[in-house]
Amino acid sequence: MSEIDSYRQFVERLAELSSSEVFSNGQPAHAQVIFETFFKFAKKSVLIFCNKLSEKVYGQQLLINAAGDALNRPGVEIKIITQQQPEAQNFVAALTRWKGEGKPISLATTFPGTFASETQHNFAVMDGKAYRFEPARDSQNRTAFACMNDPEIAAKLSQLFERLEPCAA
Amino acid sequence: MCCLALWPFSSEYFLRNWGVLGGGHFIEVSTGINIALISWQAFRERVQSAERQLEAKINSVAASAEDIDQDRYRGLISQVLLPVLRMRTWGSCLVYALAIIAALVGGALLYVGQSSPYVLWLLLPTALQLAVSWVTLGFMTFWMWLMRKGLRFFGPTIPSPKEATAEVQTFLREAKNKLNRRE
Repeated sequence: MSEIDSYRQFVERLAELSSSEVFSNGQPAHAQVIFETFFKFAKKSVLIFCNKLSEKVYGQQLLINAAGDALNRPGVEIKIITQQQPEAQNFVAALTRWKGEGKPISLATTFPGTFASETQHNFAVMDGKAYRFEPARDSQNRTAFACMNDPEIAAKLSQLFERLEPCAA
Repeated sequence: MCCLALWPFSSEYFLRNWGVLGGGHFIEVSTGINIALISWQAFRERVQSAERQLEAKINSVAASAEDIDQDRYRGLISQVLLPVLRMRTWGSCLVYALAIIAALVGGALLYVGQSSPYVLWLLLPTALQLAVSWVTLGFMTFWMWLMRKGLRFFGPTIPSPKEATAEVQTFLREAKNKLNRRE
């Protein structure tokens, strides 16, 4: 089993167990796994506030398939806010196609000069329960971390996401 | 567990005092079986829940070892902890079974009029159960702590759950302040 498959297995098991353990999620390949897991387990929503939908993370076919599967499940919506123009063009193309099909999806980029465009932190939330948090990009020795079951933090991040939505179009 | 071990003694006492012992055998036995089954179910659930929690801890530490030798870390965790976890589970099962037998034997001994010296020995399984439970839990907790410390020492700085919460809260406060100011 490859390293990334082991990682996927660990993370999916944490999701199945609804574990409140915090674990690191710094590498792009590992970030891809966590977003795949969010899409796979989401029952209501996946909210992503990221820098530029990096090709390394969001350009992977497995992740795009997972997002498509999530949208095919009733009641699941995906909302994405980026700080810069999106990089993963094939993911953006898929999102545009799904939106055209009437799926509940939104993709917006922040207006320059707003807090949303300037903050160094990024985050994602699944179902108001699981989250991934990326500390400031300029901080030293800090890696992104995630938790599959922390409703309190996840709810606060969801509320913040709602407040960031008017800062993007 | 203790209640179960003491149940035959107490029920025997009450039934004897209420003068219903002759007619109470069937009720006593069936109640005993029911209590044993319910306790067994509760015990199994507790063991399963403990296993799930530990598995989550192992997975979180293994998943966190992303910038260092993950296989070695996973090996360190699972090769040490899984046998201990199995020992804890099966050891507890064995001692629990002993405790049930001891409770039944204790009840029987009292019923035929044997006195207390034997009865005290019958509490040994309960003491063993507690020892197995606490010693293994202590060791596993220590090992997880050591693994996390090692990970923090050799690998990237991974926040503890408390630190993670504090870090997100700081960001949330900062975001709220800045958003309120701009509005």
